[in-house]
Amino acid sequence: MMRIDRHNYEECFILYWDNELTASQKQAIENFVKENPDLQEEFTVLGEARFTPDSKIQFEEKNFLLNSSTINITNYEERLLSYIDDELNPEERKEIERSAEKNPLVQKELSLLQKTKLQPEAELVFPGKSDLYRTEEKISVIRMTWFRVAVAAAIILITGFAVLQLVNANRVRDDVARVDEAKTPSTKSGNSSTSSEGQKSPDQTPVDERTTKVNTGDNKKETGTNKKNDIKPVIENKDQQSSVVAYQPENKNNLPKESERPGEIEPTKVGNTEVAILDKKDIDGATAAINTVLTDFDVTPKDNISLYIPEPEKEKGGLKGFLRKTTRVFERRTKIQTTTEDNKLLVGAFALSLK
Amino acid sequence: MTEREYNECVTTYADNVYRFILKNLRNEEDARDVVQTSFEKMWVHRDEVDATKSKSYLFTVAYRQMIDHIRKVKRVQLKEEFNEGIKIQNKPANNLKKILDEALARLSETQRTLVLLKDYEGYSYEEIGRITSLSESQVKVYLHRARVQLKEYLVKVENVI
Repeated sequence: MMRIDRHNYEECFILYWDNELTASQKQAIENFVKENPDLQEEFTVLGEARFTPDSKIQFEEKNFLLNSSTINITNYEERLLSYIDDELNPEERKEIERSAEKNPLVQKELSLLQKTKLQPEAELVFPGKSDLYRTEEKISVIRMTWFRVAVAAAIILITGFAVLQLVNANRVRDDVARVDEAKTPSTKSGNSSTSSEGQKSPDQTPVDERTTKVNTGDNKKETGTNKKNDIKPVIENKDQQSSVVAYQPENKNNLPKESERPGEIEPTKVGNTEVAILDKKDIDGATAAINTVLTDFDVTPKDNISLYIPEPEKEKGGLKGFLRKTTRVFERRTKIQTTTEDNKLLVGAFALSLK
Repeated sequence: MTEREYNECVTTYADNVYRFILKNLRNEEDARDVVQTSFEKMWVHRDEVDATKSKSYLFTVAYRQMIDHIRKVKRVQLKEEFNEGIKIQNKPANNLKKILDEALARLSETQRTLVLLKDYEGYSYEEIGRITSLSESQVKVYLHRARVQLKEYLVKVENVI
């Protein structure tokens, strides 16, 4: 060992306090300090400038370092990441949460990792979504059993027949109208004959003569309205009878079931009966009283028209109703919509698949 | 899968797929193209698609479409991608969402896809593996690595601010 003197004492003192010297060396230093009291203070200060460990400071998360615990220094990051990714079972999740409460290190790491979790941005919306929607272009096939086929066939037949009826009815109506038109001028001419005689057609002259006779006889009688009604048809029916007779054969050719069509036949029937009554009355010889009323000729044409106009209307409505009813029954029975969702009527474009 | 199920799928998932692809490609037009093609494919193969798995199917198809698209674009415009990286570094970051978006942009394509499938759609590792044709453990490793990178980026940027 080197000799201690007043030049190298500082280094020796440091070595002393750093505990780097042997016991005999330490003794030599101590003796030197005693010999030189002026260096005593320096020796003590150097000794005080040392640090002693703070026993109060303790590592509290000692357990975190133990590999035995489920969340420890070696696996905590992986566990936390799995926790963030929601890949742990409920028990493991609880453990992480407990550990985060106890351990600030885990807590800090967890909150940091939670920040890295991205949130979907709701404001980002696909712009062309309407272009993506598709509809299948396919022909709708109606499954039909034999029964349904039979119903369909029946409906087609019935509809066809009804249409035929309708067409025929129209034709008959046209005929009647034509006959009426042809007839009304003749009565009108009879009407005019009250003022000027002698222009008559040969077959109408007897009637007209009769009326003119009566006309002169009972012009004042206004009360005979009841009889007026009875008499009007005389001429009318006579004319009508002839006209009806004239077109009846035609009718029969077109419509075999004439008896089922009361609307058309009614006028002739009524006409016939009334004609019979009138004939009786004529025989009774009440000619004067009756003929008085014949003077009001202007009423007859009106009545003539009113006899025919309402009838075809009734018939048309009935047919329409019948068609509507069959459609409804068909729809209900087959559960087939005759219209598509967008209100398009499906006509004649269905496929049949037979079971 | 019926026509109705397909249309329901459009209503429910079109936005999700679009977000997923848009975040990956960062180009609206390209993202729209990819989504449209994906739905077209699904429509064509609708007879083979199970309606209950339509979402997974859609994301798988969209992911493949996106990878194809990226490969095509990469061959053509390598330089642009590089510039974008620089741009992101220079941008000032204001809030966490922005920082995160930047951090996301710095991840690799695969990592980004995995993070988005996990965070946006909540898919499990297993499901993500099926969509991206990776094994479950690969997904886990890639995803964890991505997450740590995101975290480190956050810490770094926060310290700078």
